[in-house]
Amino acid sequence: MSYLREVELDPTFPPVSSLQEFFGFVPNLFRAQALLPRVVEAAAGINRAVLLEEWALPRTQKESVLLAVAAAYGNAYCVTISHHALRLLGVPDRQLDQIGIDHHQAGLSTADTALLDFALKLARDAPWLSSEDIAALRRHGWNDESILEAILATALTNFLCTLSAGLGPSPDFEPRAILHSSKPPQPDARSYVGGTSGPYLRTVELSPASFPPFVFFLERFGSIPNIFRAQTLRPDVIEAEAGAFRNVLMPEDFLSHVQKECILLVVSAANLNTYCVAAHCEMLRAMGVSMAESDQIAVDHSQADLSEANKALLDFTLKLAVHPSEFGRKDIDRLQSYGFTEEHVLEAVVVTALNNFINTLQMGVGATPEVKPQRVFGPRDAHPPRAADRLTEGAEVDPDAGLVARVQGGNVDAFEELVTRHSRRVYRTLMGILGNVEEAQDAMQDTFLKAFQHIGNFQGRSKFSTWLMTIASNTGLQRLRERRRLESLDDAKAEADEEFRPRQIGAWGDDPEQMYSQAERRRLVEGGLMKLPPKYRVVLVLRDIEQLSGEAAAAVLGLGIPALKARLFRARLMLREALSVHFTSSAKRMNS
Amino acid sequence: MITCDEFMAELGSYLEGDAAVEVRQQLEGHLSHCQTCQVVYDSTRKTVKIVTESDSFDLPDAAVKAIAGRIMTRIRRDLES
Repeated sequence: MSYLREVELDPTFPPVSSLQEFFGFVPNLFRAQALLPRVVEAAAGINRAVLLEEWALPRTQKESVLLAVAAAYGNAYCVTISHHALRLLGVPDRQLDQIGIDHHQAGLSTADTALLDFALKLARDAPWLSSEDIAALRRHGWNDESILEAILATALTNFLCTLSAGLGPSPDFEPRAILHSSKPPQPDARSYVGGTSGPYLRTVELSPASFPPFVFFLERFGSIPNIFRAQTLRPDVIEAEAGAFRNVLMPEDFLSHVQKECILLVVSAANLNTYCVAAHCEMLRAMGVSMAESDQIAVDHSQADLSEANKALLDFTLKLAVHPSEFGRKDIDRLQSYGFTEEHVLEAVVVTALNNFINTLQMGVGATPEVKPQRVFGPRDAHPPRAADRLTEGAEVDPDAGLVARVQGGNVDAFEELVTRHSRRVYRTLMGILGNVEEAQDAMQDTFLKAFQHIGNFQGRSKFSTWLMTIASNTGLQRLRERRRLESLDDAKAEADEEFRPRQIGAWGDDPEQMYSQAERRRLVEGGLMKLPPKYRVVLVLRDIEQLSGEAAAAVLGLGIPALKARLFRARLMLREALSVHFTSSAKRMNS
Repeated sequence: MITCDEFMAELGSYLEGDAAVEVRQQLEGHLSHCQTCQVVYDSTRKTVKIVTESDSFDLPDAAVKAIAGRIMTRIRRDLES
């Protein structure tokens, strides 16, 4: 269970079966990406290459990096899964907790302690990392293969933590409390490096003509970026990264290339990653965005020449990257209010996560830019206020606020835009309550007339859409009462008395959606909905069709959250009952 | 071991993803051996998905336009009078 709609993952899809084989289960973090199997493939590919392949560092060492870094990021999901993995590998609980709290007290060897020191510095203060830190690790006996793996494990942790903050999967096991000691102060400005003074590690020659990922990068970028040349000790990892680029950045079925590049640009800028900002400015230039525009987007996208929806998209990704602990379902709701679908949301989260992986990796290996950066991020940029910090206050801005203010200022035309924007959800709410097309359309007109009359009183304490749907709900209920004086949406006693037990217990087909066309499914669902009492129908409409949050739906109907949840569950069971006859495994035979 | 009634009492929050971990484990334990509850769980989940993707009660563009037109005519007329 996560923020996005859950879809069944095909267990025979190779990335899924390999996760199953390795973990013994498919972690919820990957299930949460099931809307786009290509994205699961990308994430599973990077996870396998970095974490699961045994190369220079044993799995225990990499999982310890994961645990320490996830604890430093305050990410409960990743702490829980790495804690569990280390426990299976035989590390005692006491030592595990201590790695999360303060690895210096965990009884590790000095070499292991130094490796975790390095990983934590890379995770939290990457632009301060220098060749000195690499030299120190070498003095502790770590070879370049091991150091590269520690860098990759740190980058992977950033990737997984960003994904889990953005997708909200439930922990796979009893969650572990995070007891990390407080973050050390940021290092001295004078020791700032900026991550471009490498490459720090030994490389080997791989032929751009015959190594497939290099062939791919040449085709896509016209050259092989230095960040990949810096990791040639691990060709299989480069392959997984190229696979992720192919599966996450290349498709344009949801977010466009320009949108993805803008995400990569603003998040890299927030991470002070001079190398990646320069690279994405170049990419955008090739797509027709001028350097001046790219620079404005990097520094402060709110002032750039972008649509409101694209600004909201960048707000979303910046909040996820910079304030992951404050990120939540409401940020997804807000993005969706601009017309983005769940698939868009998933892509935005995965692009942000992939960006954090690449940013961390780049700072770790110290790859130098291919082109001269037009902006170099320095230690001053690291001090607040940074572009990303503006978000905290702006995050709850109502997408309708501008139009509402214009209507309140006397602009009647702006109200027409609000009517067009919201008429579908108002209509659906009213169909949920009234279950009759003519009545719903009539009540819809009343709703907007009332909203216009009272818009002067609307003070923005809730979103305009919630306020409007509350009016719709009250208008609908008023009509319902007139129609059937006894019907009430608020009869808690009646609810407790009603029959609860499911009657239809025939198994449904594996893929019920294949049984009927979209139009037939709509007809069946509408038919089923019409059989439900209004108080259940409207809850299903608001939660499962309109996709309102539980809080918003409760506010619209004037119910408490527990009552809303109880009603939603009952409504789903009732509809299941009504649909069963059409979707059980044997139904198709009878119908055809 | 929990009973089918206990399972049904918690299924709502399980579907919503907000069941506590230990409750979730109990429910999953029950699901692994109870065919009937497995069917109810599976078909309810599929119901939610079908409903969500059904576009039910969607209003065609032409209807939106017509209604918006009626509403705006009414508002402008009221303002003039």
